[in-house]
Amino acid sequence: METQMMRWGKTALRIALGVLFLYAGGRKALDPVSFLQSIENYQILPYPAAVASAFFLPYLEIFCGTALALKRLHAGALALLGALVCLFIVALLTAWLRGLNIDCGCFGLGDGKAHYGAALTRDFAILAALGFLLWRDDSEE
Amino acid sequence: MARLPQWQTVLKQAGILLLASGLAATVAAFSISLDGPNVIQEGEIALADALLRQPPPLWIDARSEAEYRNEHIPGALLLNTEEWEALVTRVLEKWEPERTAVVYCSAPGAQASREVAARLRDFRLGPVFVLHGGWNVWKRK
Repeated sequence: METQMMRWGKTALRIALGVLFLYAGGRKALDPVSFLQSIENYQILPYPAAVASAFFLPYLEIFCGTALALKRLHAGALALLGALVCLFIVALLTAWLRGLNIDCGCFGLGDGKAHYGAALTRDFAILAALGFLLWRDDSEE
Repeated sequence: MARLPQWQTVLKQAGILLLASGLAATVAAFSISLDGPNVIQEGEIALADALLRQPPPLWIDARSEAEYRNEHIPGALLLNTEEWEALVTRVLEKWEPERTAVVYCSAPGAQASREVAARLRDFRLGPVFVLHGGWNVWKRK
C-alpha cells in the first residue's frame, strides 16, 4: 500500500525527470549542428545517420520529457527514455574503452573534456529512476 | 504490489511519441535548409547540404584570427588572405583528396570566403564551396 508521501515522491521524481529531459533536448534542438559534432565525436554512426540523429534525438527527449512531466503517454515515454539512456550508456562505455577524450554531449556542447565516471553515474541513476517509475506505474490512461 | 503497464499501451504511446518527434525533426531540418536570404549562387552550398556531405566537409574559416578564436564551427581551420602563407600549409595537410571544402566568413557578399575559395580551387584537391549565408547562417541554425 502506497502512502501519500510515496505518491508525492513519485510525482516529484517524474516531474524532475521530465524537466531534465526537456532541458537536455531543448539545448540540443536549439543547436543541432553542435550536437551533430558531439555525435560525430563518438565515431560510431555513419555521417548521414549522425545527421538524422542530431535532429531526431533532441525532439524525442523534448516530447518524452513533456509527456513524463505532464503524465500523458508517460508509460511510452518512460520506455523510450529508458531505451535512450541505455544507448547513451553503451556509447559512453565504448568511447571510454576506446580511449576517446570527448565531451559526452548529454546537454549539448560542454567543456570538450571526458567525464565518463560522472556521466555514467548520472545515466545509471536516471535509468534506475525511470525503471522505478515504470515498475510502480499507477497510470489510469 | 507493483503494476506494470500493459505492453500494448507502452508500444502505442511510444509510437505516438516517436511519430511526433520524427515530424518535429523533419520540420527542424527543413527550416535549416531554408536558411539564407537569397537564391544559392554558383559555387555556394547550403548549410544542410554541406552537413549531409559524405565524407564530412572540411570547414574553412575565412574570418580574422580574433573572430576565429572567439568562436568557430567545430573542427574548422582558420585560413584568410591576410595570413595565407602561414595558414595554408595546415589546411593542405588536413585536406584529403576528394573531400569537399566549405569556406565561410561573415563579410557582406561573402567576399573573404569567395577569395579564399578561389585560391583553394587552384590546388585542385577537391570540390570547394562557399557556405551560403556564411557565419550568420551557422549562428542562426
